[in-house]
Amino acid sequence: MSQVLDRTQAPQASSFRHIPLPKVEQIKLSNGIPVYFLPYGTAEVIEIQAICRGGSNFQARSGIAKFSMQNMVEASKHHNSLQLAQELDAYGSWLGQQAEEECLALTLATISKNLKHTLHLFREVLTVPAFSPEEFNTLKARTLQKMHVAEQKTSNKASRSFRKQLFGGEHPYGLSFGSAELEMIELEELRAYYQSYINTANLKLLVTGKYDQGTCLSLLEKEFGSLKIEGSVPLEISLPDVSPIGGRYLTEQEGMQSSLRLGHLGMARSNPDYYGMQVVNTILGGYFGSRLMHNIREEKGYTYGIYSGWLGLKHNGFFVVQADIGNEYVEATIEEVKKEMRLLCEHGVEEEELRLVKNYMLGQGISQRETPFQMGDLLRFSLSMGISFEEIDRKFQVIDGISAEEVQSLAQKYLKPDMLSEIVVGKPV
Amino acid sequence: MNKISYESFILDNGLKVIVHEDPSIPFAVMDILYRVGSKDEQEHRTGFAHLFEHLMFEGSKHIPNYDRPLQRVGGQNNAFTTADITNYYLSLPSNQLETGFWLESDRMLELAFSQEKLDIQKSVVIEEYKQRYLNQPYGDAHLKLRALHYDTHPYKWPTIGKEISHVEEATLEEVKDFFFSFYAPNNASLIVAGDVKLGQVKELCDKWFGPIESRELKKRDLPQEGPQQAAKELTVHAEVPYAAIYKMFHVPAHTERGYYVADIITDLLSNGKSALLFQSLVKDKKVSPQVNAYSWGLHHPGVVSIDGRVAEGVSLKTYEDALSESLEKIQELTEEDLNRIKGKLEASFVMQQTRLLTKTMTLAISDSLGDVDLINTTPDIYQGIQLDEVKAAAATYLAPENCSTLYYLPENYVASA
Repeated sequence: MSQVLDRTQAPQASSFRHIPLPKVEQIKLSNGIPVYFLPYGTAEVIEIQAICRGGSNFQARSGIAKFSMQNMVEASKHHNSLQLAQELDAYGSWLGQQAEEECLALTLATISKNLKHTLHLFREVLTVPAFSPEEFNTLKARTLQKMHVAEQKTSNKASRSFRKQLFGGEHPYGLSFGSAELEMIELEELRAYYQSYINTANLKLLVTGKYDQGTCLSLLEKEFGSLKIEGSVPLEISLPDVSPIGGRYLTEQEGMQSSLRLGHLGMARSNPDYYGMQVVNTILGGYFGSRLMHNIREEKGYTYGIYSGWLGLKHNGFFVVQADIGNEYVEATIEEVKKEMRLLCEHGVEEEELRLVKNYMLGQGISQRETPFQMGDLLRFSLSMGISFEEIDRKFQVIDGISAEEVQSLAQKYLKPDMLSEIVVGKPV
Repeated sequence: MNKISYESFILDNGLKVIVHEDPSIPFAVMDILYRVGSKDEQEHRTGFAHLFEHLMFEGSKHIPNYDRPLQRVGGQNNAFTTADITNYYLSLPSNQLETGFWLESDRMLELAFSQEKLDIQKSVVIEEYKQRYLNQPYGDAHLKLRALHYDTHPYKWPTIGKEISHVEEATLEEVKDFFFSFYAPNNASLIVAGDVKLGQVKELCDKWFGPIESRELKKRDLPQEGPQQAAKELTVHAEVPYAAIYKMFHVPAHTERGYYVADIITDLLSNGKSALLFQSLVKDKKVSPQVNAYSWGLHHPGVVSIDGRVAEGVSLKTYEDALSESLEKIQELTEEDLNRIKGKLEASFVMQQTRLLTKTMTLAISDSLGDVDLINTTPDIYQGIQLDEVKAAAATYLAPENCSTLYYLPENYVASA
C-alpha cells in the first residue's frame, strides 16, 4: 500500500558525522629542514608549500611582503619568466605565493606523477629567485594600472577606509596596499626583504595530497636536503594597542550605489571566546539566511547582499558589516543594522534558530575539508599561527555545545551597536 | 586520468537522473538543471530567466521557506542562470540527503507565487544589476558589446536583462506563465553525487519526483544568427581611468568540435604566463597591463572574447596592431607549443576532480550539451586537436570581418600619438 506523500513535513533529520583532522607526520631532512606530511584525497594531485615566518606583520611599509613574493615567483636565476612558465605548463604544474599576516609561502600544485619534473623549479624560485629590474619594472607598471582601476570601486575605497579608521594609519592592521604604497617600493627593498625572511633556518615544507611518501621524501631530500642552513627565524613581534573611536566617515562619489562598512574592534584569533563569536556573527550576518540578509535583502530589497564578519587576527581583530546599497537606502540600512545588533543583545536567540545555525556551521565544517588544497591551507594556518589541529577542531565542540544563554551573553559582551565606525562611500540621499 | 563513473535513468515523467558515487567525504551534492535561459525570453521582456531563479528561493507550494530547512540539516545552496540554462545546486551531509529531495521536488511541483515576493525580488535584482554592471568600472562593457555582436539571436541581450525597466515591469501572470512553460520534469536533469548509492537515489526519486506530472513545454523557435560580413565597431565613454578594448568573434556552438578548437586557441593566447598575448602585449611590448582571451561555451553558435586594457600612454592603434600581430603568430606555433597547453589542460581536469561540486556541475553541463559522457571524453577531445586544425580555425574565427569591437574610453579621452 502506498501512502499519500505529505509534502509539508520535512524528512527525519539525522545526527552529524564529523570529519576529524588527520594526523600530520613530521620528518626532518638530513640538514634538519622539517617536512610535514598530510596525505589527503583521492585525486592524483599534490601540493608542496614552503613557508617562512614573515608577512604583513613583519614589514617596514605596506605592500613590501606581498610585492616581494609576487616578484619572487616571476623568475629564477636559471630560468627567465618565459622558460619557467613553459616548463611548468608542460608538466601541468602551478606556482603560487602567499604573503599573509604571519607567513610567507611559495606553493607548487601539480599532478602527482609530475612532481619529479617540476620540484627543482620550485626549489630554484625559492632559493635563487632572479629579482631582475626588467621583471620588477614591468610587474610594477601593470600592477599600478590594475590598482588604479580597482581603486575606483566604492567597495575598495570603503574597505581601505574602514581598516584605517579602526586601527589608525600607522598600525599594520590599518594599512592597505594600494597604488600610493606601490609607487614607493623599490627593487632593492624587495631583495633585502627576501634575504631577511626567506632562508633555510626559517623554512618548513608542507606536503598534502595523494602521493607515495617515500618517493616524495627522496625528491625533497634531493632538492632541499643538502642546502646549508642559514639565517634565522624572526622574533615574534608585538603590535601597538588600539583604542576604539567610532563615528561616521563619508567619501562622496557619484554612482547608483554606496558601499557601506560598519564595525568596531574585536578580539585576537586566540581569544577563547573567538569560536563562540563565530556563532553570534553567523546568526547576525554570517550566512545567506542571516538576520541581516533576511531583513535588508529579503524583506526590504535594499541590496543584493549584506554580510557581517567577526575576524580574528594574530594580535587583534574586528567586526564588520558590509554591503553595497542603493543610495536611497543607506540611512535606513545603518539604522536596521544597529537594530539587529541590539535585538540580538537584548533578546538573544530562540532554540530553533540556534539549532539551524549550529547545523549549518557543522555542515560547512565538513565541506571545508574536501580537497588537499583546503587541507594545505589549514596546515599552513596551523603552523604559522601556532594553533594546533586540536584547537582548530575545538570550534566544532563549541558550536555543538553552545547554549542560547551563552550566545546572548557573548553578544552583550562583545557587540557594540553604539560604538560603530560607519564608512560610507558613494552618494547617499 | 580516472574516469568518472555514473549511472543514469529516466522517470516516467521525463526527468533524467544521473548518479555518481564518491564516498570520500560524508557529503552529497544535488544539482537540478532546467533547460531554460535568457535566450528563451522575448526581446521586449528580458531578464526573466534570472529573475525567476531568485523566485525559486521564495518558498514552494508546501514549504514556505526553501533555505531554512536546508540550513537546518547543515546544507547550503546556490544557483546561476546563463543564456542557455538555469542551474540549481545544493550540498549537504549525505545522511540528510532526503531533505534535498523534499525541497527540490516541491519547487519543481509548484512555487508559492505572490505579488509581495515578486516585488521584493525585483528590487533585489535591480540592486544586483547596479552592483555588478552599472556601479563598476567597465561593468557594462559586455552588455553593450553583445548587442553589437549579435543582430538577431537572443544572445544579444544579457542574462540580467536588456534594461532595468524589463525587470521592473514583470507581472505575476508572466512569472507564472514562465514557470509552467519551462519548469517541468521533462525539461530538467537531476544529478546526485557523493556519498550516495544508486538504489537509494532511485527510491528517493520515485518517492519525491515520481508523482510530478510532465508538462507541455513552450515551443521554441529561436532566430539564428547569419554569418557576419564585415567588422563592427562601437565607441563609448565613461568614468574609467584607462582605455579598454573588447573584442568578440563568432565561433561554433559548444556541441561542435570547432568550439574546442576555438577554446584551445584562447588557452594558447592567454592561459598563464607562457601564453602569446601575455608574452607579447604585457611583457614584451608593454601595450597592455592585462589581456584575456576566453570562450563562452554557448549552446548555439557562440563567442570568443578578447578583453584588454590599453596601457597608459599607448594609442589604441598601437594596441590593436600588437594584438593583430599576436593573432597572426598562431600560424607560427609548433607542435611543442600545442603539447604544452595540452599538458596544462590535462592537469586542470585532474585538479577539477578534487571537488565534488565541480564534478557534479560538469555532469549537469555535459548532459545539457546532449552527452553526459562529455565529462570523460572532453579531455580526449582536447588531446586530439591537431596543429593544422588550430591554424585553420584561427585564420577563420579570428578574422577582422568576424569581429565586433567595443572601444571603452575615459571621458574626454585624448588619443595618444
